[in-house]
Amino acid sequence: MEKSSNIIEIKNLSHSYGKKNIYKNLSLEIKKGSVYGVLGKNGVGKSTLINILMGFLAPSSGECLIYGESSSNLSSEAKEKIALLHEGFVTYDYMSIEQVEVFFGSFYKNWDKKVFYELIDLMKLDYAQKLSTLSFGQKSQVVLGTIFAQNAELLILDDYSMGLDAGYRRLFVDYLKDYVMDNNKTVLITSHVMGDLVGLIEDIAIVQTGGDVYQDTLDNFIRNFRCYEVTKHQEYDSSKIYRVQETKKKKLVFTFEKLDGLEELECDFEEKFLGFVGRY
Amino acid sequence: MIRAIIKKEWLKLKFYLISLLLLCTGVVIYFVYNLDFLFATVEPESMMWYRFVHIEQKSYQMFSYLFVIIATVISFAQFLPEKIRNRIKIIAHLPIPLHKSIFMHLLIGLFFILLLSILLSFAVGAIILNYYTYEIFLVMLKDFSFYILGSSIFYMALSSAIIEENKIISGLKILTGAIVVFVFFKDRYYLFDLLWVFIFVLFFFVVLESFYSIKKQRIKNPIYLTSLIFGLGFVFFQGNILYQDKFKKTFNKYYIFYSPILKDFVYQKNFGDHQFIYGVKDKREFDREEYESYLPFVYWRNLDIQKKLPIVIGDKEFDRDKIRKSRLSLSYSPALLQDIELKFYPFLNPNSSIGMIRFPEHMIQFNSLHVKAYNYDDGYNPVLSKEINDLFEKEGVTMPIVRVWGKATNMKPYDLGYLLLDSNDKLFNLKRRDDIITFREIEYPEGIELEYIKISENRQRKIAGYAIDSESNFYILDWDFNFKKVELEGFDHNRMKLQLISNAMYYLIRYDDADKYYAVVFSKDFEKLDKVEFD
Repeated sequence: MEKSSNIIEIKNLSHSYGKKNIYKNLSLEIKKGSVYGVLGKNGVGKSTLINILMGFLAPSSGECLIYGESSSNLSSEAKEKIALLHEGFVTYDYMSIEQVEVFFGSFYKNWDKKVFYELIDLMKLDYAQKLSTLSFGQKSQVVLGTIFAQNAELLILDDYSMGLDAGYRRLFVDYLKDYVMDNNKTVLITSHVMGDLVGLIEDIAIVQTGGDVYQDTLDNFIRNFRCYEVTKHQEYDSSKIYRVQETKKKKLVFTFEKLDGLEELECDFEEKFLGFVGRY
Repeated sequence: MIRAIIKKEWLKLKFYLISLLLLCTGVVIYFVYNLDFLFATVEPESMMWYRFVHIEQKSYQMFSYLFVIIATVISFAQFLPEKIRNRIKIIAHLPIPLHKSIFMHLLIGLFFILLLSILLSFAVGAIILNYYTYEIFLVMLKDFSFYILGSSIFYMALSSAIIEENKIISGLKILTGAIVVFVFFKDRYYLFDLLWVFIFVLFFFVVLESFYSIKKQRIKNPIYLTSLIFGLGFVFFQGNILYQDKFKKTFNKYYIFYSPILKDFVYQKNFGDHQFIYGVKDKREFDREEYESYLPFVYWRNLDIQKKLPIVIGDKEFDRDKIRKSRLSLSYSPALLQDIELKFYPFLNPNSSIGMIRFPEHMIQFNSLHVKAYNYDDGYNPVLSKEINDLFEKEGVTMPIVRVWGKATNMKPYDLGYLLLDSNDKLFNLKRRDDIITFREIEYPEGIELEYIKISENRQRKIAGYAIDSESNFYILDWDFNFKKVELEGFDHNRMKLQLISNAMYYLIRYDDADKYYAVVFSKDFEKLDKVEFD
């Protein structure tokens, strides 16, 4: 597996909840050293993909391999290489910061205590403080400290932004960018907050309701997915249009094509993402 | 790594453990207070020992509930928050094998159960030793060991249900746990109950499978699956046995009597719901009134109220007293074959100047190689023990005593003492009256293996009881313990219940296995007169 340099391989993955399709024949590969974003609106199945990847959910069909091992039956060696952030910053609230560090530190050979306390020290917290007494934002930093301190090859971060205000999100993303840059880690990250991710992720998979997944590099998406403003009665070739967003006064037309005669708007990634997945 | 998990579990459970410790302390205080009250008010104190051994009123039985509570609290505290808050996924993702991870968690939970149980056992044991005999203390230790085993199995059943992802399987595991509690916590434990150790070991893997279900896996090992089938079969089988024992209604299809008027058997056939028919087999049916008229010795009270006594049957007259004094009923059921847990008997000492037999201070223990006499104030009574042991030696008893039969109660008009079967199959009679102990060998038919003897002291002083041997032969014992064999065709003491009924003219013995019903009538000299069989 190491030879192919793919850390994660998903082959023909399909999954549904009852009649609701979440994934249809999804195949994707995540190469060593890449930072991969699984993006989508709330409820489209980003965490479902992580749960399938970590073996907590059995897909309807298809295969998921991590380090060449079936994701439902990872060896201890493989698990040691994967630092997993569970959705909702799941952790041991009844422990103190110090106790959490000691607990997780005893399981990982490459545990880096310094990294853990570096993040904690940013918040100037007492190490003896129990996690249950911390704010959600502070607790999230403790959890992220345990993730980074593992010094794992692969970081799987499921919805890191959940419940965090802009300050803590920014703190995390900035730290993650530096960490990835300095350590050549592979990252799989899911989020519905797009603005933070520019400059961090390279490849993206945008999950749509119904199971369709768009895969490309982030740069390609930003470059090729265009937004045009048209007046209410202005005509255009609708066969080239991906999505139209209508406001009271104007229409925004999103497309992967170049449309002559229309005014292309400068949009950031978040606007283009919303143009792609739809606002509602 | 192990220390990390131990510390994590300790941090999580410490408040629950402290609370459980306080609860246990409270229950122990209540227990000692209550026990002291019982011993202070009962007269004599040996009655409490009698209740323990003979009617299985074990004063510490309430602790079995405490063991279930301990298992429940530790299991819920340990695994429910992990499941609800998804922390079970953290455990599943730790870089150690899944089995190692869950087994360590289980062992920690079991260690805490054991710790509390040992503290509890020490406290209760010390109290029991203060009030009961050493042999009873040993019974308590045995019972507590099984409580701990039951509590551990229940802890694992509950934990497996909490961890399990599949709701149906989780429900089944809870059901199994409930059956374990239902079946396991009982009055008495036998060697056979050690089979539950297998269930205990099996449940480690049942929990492991629940943990695997977090990662959508199942144990497919054929040894595990086979063991699981056997284990579940065992639990449900035991559950069914207990259900039958406790809740199955006994149903008598036929009540058979012998009519001295018809000189024939009459029956009352029971269809349930209080629906009956009455008749004589293969001859005719009649109504209840007529049925009762054929049985004057059964419904003699009616005749007495109606001033129809005395009655004349044949050339004999039977008045109220004659009928009443001739009445006697002895019963048998296979459950009587079961020995009591300790061969510990009240040593009655009727006083010829007092009408009623008093419950004795002394109790004697036949379990070991020497007879031990106890009384509450002195504990072990060396003088009485020696006196009995000397008599045993003189009569050539081969210890230990293997069976003891007799009516261990003072609620009787006379005391015939106990019949003791020694290791050499010799039968002896031990009794005491006016402080004088008598001990003698009782002759019984050669070559038979005694299975059960019923002694029933009664005012008629003719029949002292009955004996049954291993071949289901039935013997009547006269007042001097002479054996008289009576033919009971088709009787099987291992599965049939029996009743011997005496009236002014006959002895009736009826027996059945709820499928076939037999009745044999005998003269007052036990000459067989007639028999009948119903399907």
